[in-house]
Amino acid sequence: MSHFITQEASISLAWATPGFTGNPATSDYFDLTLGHNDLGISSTNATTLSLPAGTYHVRATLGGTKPTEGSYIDYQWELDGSTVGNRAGWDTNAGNDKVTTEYAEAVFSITSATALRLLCNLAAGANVIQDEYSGVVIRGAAL
Amino acid sequence: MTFVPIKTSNIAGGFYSGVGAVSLSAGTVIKPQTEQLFGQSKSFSYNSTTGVFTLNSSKTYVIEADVMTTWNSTTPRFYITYGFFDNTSTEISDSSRGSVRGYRPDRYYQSYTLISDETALAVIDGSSVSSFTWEIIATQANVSTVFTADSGVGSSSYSTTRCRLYIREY
Repeated sequence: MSHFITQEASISLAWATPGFTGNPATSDYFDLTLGHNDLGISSTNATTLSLPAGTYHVRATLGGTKPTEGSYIDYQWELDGSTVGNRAGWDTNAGNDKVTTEYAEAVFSITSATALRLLCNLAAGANVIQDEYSGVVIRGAAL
Repeated sequence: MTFVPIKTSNIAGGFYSGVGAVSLSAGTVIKPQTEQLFGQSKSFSYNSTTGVFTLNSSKTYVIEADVMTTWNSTTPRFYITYGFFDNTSTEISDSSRGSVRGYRPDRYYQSYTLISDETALAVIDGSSVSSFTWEIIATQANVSTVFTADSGVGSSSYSTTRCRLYIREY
């Protein structure tokens, strides 16, 4: 005899607003300010979120102003000190013309509280991040 | 005896398109006319006459929206920005605006500095925001230009992209 058990994969949500004071440079981390938060995420400091155990999809986009055609930023998620997911960035025609996604995304599972940061991989020029064009959506579920 | 788990999702959602060839300017409420639903039964509603999405106070939502436009002048440099507003005309706090820029990246960045993703994004808690609209925030061009949604003619006739909005309910 088989018994069928319905298990709902309940997904919860959080929002964070990325920002940066000044002009982000290579190896800087972007500030992450929590908004809506159904996931029990906490802020360790201005640039670090502590995610409880679970499975996650994180998505970040950064908007702002770039002073020249060739200026750009390139960014990626960093989980527990290691980069994860795809690199995203701003369009540029400096050296090698590049049109790319502005969305940095990653999917991962963690078994204990883990630090999540948004890393500026590369930067050229005096770029300025604008909060109203930037956002982070975190979808999470229990393991 | 065997126990067989059946996993279901708690997600309902909708895909909204068919805006039509309407002019786009600051304050325009974008009103998709076509609704396609997916997932579980939804508890939000949409009024295609007003463009208002009414939300369930016990749900949380992820919203994504893109604008597709064509223009009537020759090779303008331009951008259009858009986002989400509540029923008091206040921009949703947990949101990021999208922008479309043109008409070519190299020429655009000779005139303007704004860059962002094309997709406007939001997380909305239905317990604090009861409804929202999708609106044009600003249009900017170096020459007088009429921007039209979804027309699929003129300089962008190669594109099959159309204005669209996704809403996912959790």
